[in-house]
Amino acid sequence: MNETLKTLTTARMFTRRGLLKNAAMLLGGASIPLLGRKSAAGAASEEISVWGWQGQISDQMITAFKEDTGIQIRLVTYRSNAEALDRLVAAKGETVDLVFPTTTALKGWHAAGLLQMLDESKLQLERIRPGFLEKSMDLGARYRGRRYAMPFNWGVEGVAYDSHRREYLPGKLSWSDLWSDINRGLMTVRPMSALMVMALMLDGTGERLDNAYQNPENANEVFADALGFARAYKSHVHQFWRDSQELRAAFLEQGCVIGQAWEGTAAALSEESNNRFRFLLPKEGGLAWQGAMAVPAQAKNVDQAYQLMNWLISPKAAALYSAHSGFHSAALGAEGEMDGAGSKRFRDLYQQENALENLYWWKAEPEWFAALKQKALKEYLNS
Amino acid sequence: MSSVSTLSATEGQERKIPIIKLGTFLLMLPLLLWLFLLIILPHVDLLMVSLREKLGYREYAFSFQNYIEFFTEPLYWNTFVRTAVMSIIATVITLIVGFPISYYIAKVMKGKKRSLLFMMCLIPFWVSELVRTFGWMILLRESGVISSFLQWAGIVDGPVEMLYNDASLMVGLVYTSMLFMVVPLVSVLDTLDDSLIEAGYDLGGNTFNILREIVIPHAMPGIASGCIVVFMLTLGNYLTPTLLGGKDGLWFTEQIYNQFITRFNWESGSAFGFLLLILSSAIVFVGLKLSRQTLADTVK
Amino acid sequence: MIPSIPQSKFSTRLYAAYVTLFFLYLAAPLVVVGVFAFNDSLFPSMPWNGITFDWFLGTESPRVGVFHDSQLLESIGYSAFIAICVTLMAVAVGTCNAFLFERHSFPFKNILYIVALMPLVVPGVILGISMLVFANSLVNGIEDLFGFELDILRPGLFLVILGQFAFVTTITTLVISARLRKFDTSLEEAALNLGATKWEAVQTITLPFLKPAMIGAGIVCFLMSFENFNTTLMLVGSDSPLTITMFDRLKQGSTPALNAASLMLMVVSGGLALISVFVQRDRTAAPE
Repeated sequence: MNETLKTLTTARMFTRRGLLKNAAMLLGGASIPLLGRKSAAGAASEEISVWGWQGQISDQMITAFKEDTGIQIRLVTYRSNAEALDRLVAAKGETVDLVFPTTTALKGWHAAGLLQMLDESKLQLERIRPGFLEKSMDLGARYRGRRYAMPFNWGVEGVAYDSHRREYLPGKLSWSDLWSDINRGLMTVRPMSALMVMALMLDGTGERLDNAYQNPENANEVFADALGFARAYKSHVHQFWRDSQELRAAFLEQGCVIGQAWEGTAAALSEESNNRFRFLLPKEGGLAWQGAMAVPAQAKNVDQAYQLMNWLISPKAAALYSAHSGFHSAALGAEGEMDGAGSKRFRDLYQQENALENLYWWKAEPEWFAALKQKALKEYLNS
Repeated sequence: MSSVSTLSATEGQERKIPIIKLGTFLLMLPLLLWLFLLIILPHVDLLMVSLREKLGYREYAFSFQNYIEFFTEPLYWNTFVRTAVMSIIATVITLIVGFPISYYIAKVMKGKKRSLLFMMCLIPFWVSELVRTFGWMILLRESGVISSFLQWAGIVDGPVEMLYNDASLMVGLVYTSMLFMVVPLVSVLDTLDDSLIEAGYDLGGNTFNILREIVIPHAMPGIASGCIVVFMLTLGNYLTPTLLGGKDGLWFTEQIYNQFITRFNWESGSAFGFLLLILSSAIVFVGLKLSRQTLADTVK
Repeated sequence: MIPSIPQSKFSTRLYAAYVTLFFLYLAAPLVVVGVFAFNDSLFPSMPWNGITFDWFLGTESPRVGVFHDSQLLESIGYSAFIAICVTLMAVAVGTCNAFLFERHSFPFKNILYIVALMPLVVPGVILGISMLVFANSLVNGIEDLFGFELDILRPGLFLVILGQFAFVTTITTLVISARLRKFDTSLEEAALNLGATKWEAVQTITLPFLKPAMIGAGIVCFLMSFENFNTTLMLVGSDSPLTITMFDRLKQGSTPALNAASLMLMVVSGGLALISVFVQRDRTAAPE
């Protein structure tokens, strides 16, 4: 926690642009390069430096983008938001033209002044799934009243189970099935999600959890209740998982029959096991997250970054992405472009009973909320 | 703002010289640049944008689609009507709350005390609307001052959330508009001769009758300009509804913001903006006609 | 109903009580904002934990005071810069307009006067979006014609200044015109008779006479610009002025540092307001 704060402060000091520069620009206004610049149409520099998640952008996508636009992607990968943020702070002066933070994590990026405001007139926002634009603003893309990030992808945490040993039906399966007695000792959860799901289940609607973000008293109350439940049922957990490797191991090696799971990982599991492991959204709604694309303040190939963003939300690129990563693109019509299996999987999950509206979205957390959450988590794991 | 009158004084000399002198023209230059570049052309452009439809990236066609969408989509239409109705309610409440105060300042108080009271009315409005709204949030929120007071006094058992509903919104709107009601009312009541009221009593009138027959008719121009300004400002308010209003009750300006910034649908955003402008101007126009005033009187 | 008419004690007291209540209503939010700047708690809310000055002077996270919050300080700088630009421009143009409307005649004078009043009727959000749309059309038009992107017309400080200037100028025009109307032109004529040029006469006689109105209008401009939100929101770029930064913090929930900033804002605007009242005192002794 303290490390992050230190990085943020350093970052802020780096990014503080002097008022003097702006004053000179406005009052003097003399030198034209400050007022504007040559339009980029037909510019020569056809390279772009992209920082993306591991397993996110495939070689096939890089080739396809090069074919469509002539721009070569130089890709650097990272594994978590914190890693990307820390490395970007350290990489001042280096060219980074596009990054992919999780929308709810954007707050820290804004605070460090790492991103630049997006010019929406250069983006083809009509290609984005309806509702996602609003959602992304609420979840963290809005900074000082403006948009600093674009929706890119999204995914859901739901329930995976071993169809050879358990039978569950869509619309019937509930989060509480995870904790039922028959699954005692055969279940795997992600500690943080387990707590959040407990908090969600407290009232079944998530309204209490919503209120918990308003002030620390509410949050403390909700966490205390969730913690009480979680502790009482801790013995049901066979194995905690923290990343996709551990999740796969829990099912494939540890013999778990049910567990919370990321949709993308579950899809891969299902494929490898010949559909033995299956994935469902609980009737209360899955836990959903949204990923974003954003242009760092230090970007040099801004026009190319906009081209890449627009390309990534084209149906074709979105389908390539979904097929490669197992997650969904925020673009409209991606599932239509996908191969049969991926497209069917999407329809199976979301084309029933407002599953999309029913999702519970992870929210952007105020600092104090994150601190309380960490505290509760520590207590849970140590109990 | 409280010390301006019309230009009618100079209108008499106007027709003497038909040709513009060079000096006059140079003096006109800033005015023309200001009005054309910053007021007229942007609004014309807004209208043009509202009358086009996006076909593709930077490809447009003339169309009424944006206006049709507004009238056929209940969400937009409802927000519009809701904003107008809430603005009317806020205006009426502001009038009802503000009238006795204005009367007190203009008629009951005298001398230094009166100036002081009037100043005290004005001072809060020198402070940013943001700060005032922030104050209401601290007062009304669940962990806020009023909730804590009620618990301390034993009136309620647990914390009460008073924020994010129509009532809290109304409190904020009325608060923000108060100045624009009190100032015109005080200035118009100021000109009401005390002897008229005394005469009313001498003729056996009671308080209610005198209010209805003498005070209110006299105050009508002030009531009209106060109401016009308050309605206009409330309609165009963005901060108060965003910060104090409920999640479900969108304000029309928020709808415009959403179209512009969130969805980058400038076409329909412009149409919404234009509709709001028309509603606002229409109300001002009708109000002025009814009260037989000019715009210049109102800005006093 | 008026002091000369005897009323029952009860109704007089009731009336006085209502007026008192009203002033409590007026004062409450401002007082609360100010008081909670000193609350020794991480949130601007109850309970009251005693007095601290951390929200002004604190340096250690999470207790960063206003004076050490680089984001807030930076945005105060932007706000001041914008407000100074807007004020200088608006007072200059307002003075020109005052002379023009009071002293000159030209075609379409009445129509232009009405258009000049329009910014008072146009909601700030709409003024903002129309400016945004127009600036964007200009940028695109220039790009299509010359292949040159005029970045200064993209959302940012320059557009914010233009947007605020657009409506604030109406106020300066009105205030300065009102003062000019009261000017006795024979004074200027006397100067001309004594051999002064027209410009010298205006410079030595008329402008000093207008000075209180110009200062008063300037202060009003400065405050209106500093506190403007609606128009600014639509035009702002990466460099955000104080109101936008505060709004952002407010929506996210903030530490009482926000109260401290607000308190300073209140003190400064209250002070400026008082100055403007005293500067123009001779005209506003009785509220019009």
